[in-house]
Amino acid sequence: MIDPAAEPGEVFEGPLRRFSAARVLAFSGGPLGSPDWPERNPHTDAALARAAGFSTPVVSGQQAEGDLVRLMMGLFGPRWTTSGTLKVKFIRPLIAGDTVRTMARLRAKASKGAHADFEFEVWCETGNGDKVIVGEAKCWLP
Amino acid sequence: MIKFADEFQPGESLEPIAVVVTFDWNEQILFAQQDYDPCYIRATGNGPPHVHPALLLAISANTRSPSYRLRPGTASVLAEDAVRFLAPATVDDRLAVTWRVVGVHEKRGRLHQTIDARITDSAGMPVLTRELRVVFPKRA
Repeated sequence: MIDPAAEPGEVFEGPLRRFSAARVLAFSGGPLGSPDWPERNPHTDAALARAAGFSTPVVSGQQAEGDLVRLMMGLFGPRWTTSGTLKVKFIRPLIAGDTVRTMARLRAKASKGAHADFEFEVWCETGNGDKVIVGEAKCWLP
Repeated sequence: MIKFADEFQPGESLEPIAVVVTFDWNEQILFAQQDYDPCYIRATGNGPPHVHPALLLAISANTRSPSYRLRPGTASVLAEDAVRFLAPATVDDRLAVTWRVVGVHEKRGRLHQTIDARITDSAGMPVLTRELRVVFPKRA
């Protein structure tokens, strides 16, 4: 959980995570056991990936976005599920095998009566520091 | 006559879906996300395990609507997303997902569609709202 005394500028980071092909399929293939599993989409099918302009199947941006949510859940706990907001841009695709770390920099904190609002700059970056998702997140604590 | 996804105009809704996230599907996403927080696995005093938020994102993508039909040989790309989490969803609950196109514009020869998506639980309570910015290739 975030320390309510955290100050703007403080950086929080998630673990470096590898999007293995198995995990990409688990996320984008639909429920295991479905008759048509895995579902065909640009994340599971090379032809559809090419149609979308990619040379190979790409990791769903929402899978990496989910990692940002996880980072925020770690900072705000259950409060995030009732009050969290996340706004992101997907600036570069990921492919299976890529590694990504989620990052959040506290941009602003404001006390409003009995609670404090927190605003972060957030991003996902590859193992060599290239940003693939950028955006902002907000939540509050009593 | 087939209506393709890039033909929907502001004010038009995509066909909604009802989704029941089973414990197994949720567990599959925990594997995908490498996130085994107990709140997604065990029931709490507030009810069944929570649906992982990444799965909420997956089921509320516009591509999940039966209305999502692409022109042959094309695909769309999610470019931006703005999500507001309002309440946890629980495993085995029947969730309703709706989509409505709220904006369309062209930029650099590509069609950008803005879609408002919402998830509500079986009691009608909002779980999540989001605004997706989806990019389609230029029409031939």
